Amino acid sequence: MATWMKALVVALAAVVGLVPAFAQVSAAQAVQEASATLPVGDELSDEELSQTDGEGFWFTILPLVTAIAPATAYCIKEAVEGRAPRWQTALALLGWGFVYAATVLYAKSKIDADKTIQDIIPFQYRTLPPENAARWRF
Amino acid sequence: MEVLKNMWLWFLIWTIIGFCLSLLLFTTKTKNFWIEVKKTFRKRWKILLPLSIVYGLGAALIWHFMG
Repeated sequence: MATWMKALVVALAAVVGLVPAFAQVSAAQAVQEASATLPVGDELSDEELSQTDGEGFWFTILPLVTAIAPATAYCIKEAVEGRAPRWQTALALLGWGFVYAATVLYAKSKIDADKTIQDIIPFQYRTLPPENAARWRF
Repeated sequence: MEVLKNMWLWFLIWTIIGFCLSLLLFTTKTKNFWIEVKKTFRKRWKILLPLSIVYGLGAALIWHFMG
């Protein structure tokens, strides 16, 4: 196997391990730095809670599908054409899929954090220019 | 099957798949799910398109040069 292939596989494996870890830390920091007070409301009853749409399953399955799809398609295509799939290629495609899924989740967490902060800033402060609005502490 | 060996076709296929999957990931799950998908598309295509192009390009390049 060529040296660059080994390097690519090792680099992808490293990135797959590191990107989600950094993504979670950054999202948590984004929320903390806003130092905003969340509105206090009533707790949901058990019945109401059971009627809410759970997103945990959705956000577990979709990134996995995104990550696994190219490697699976590659293996199927090679099998259909009567060749044995190369594990290096399958691993590289798998790594690339995980990198993409982690990037999309990171982008979503950043947007959601910004949106949450925007939602709880009182309306009158939203109309101020950003440089003035940044001085307000809630 | 000859046409499937074309790298650019695979690029297109993976870009479209990547775009659809990330669009679903960006969508908040509500009862009016497909209306929400349309809203997310209008609001977020500018970030989703470059992301999925990079995904498609990466997948096609790995497939083409390592496959």
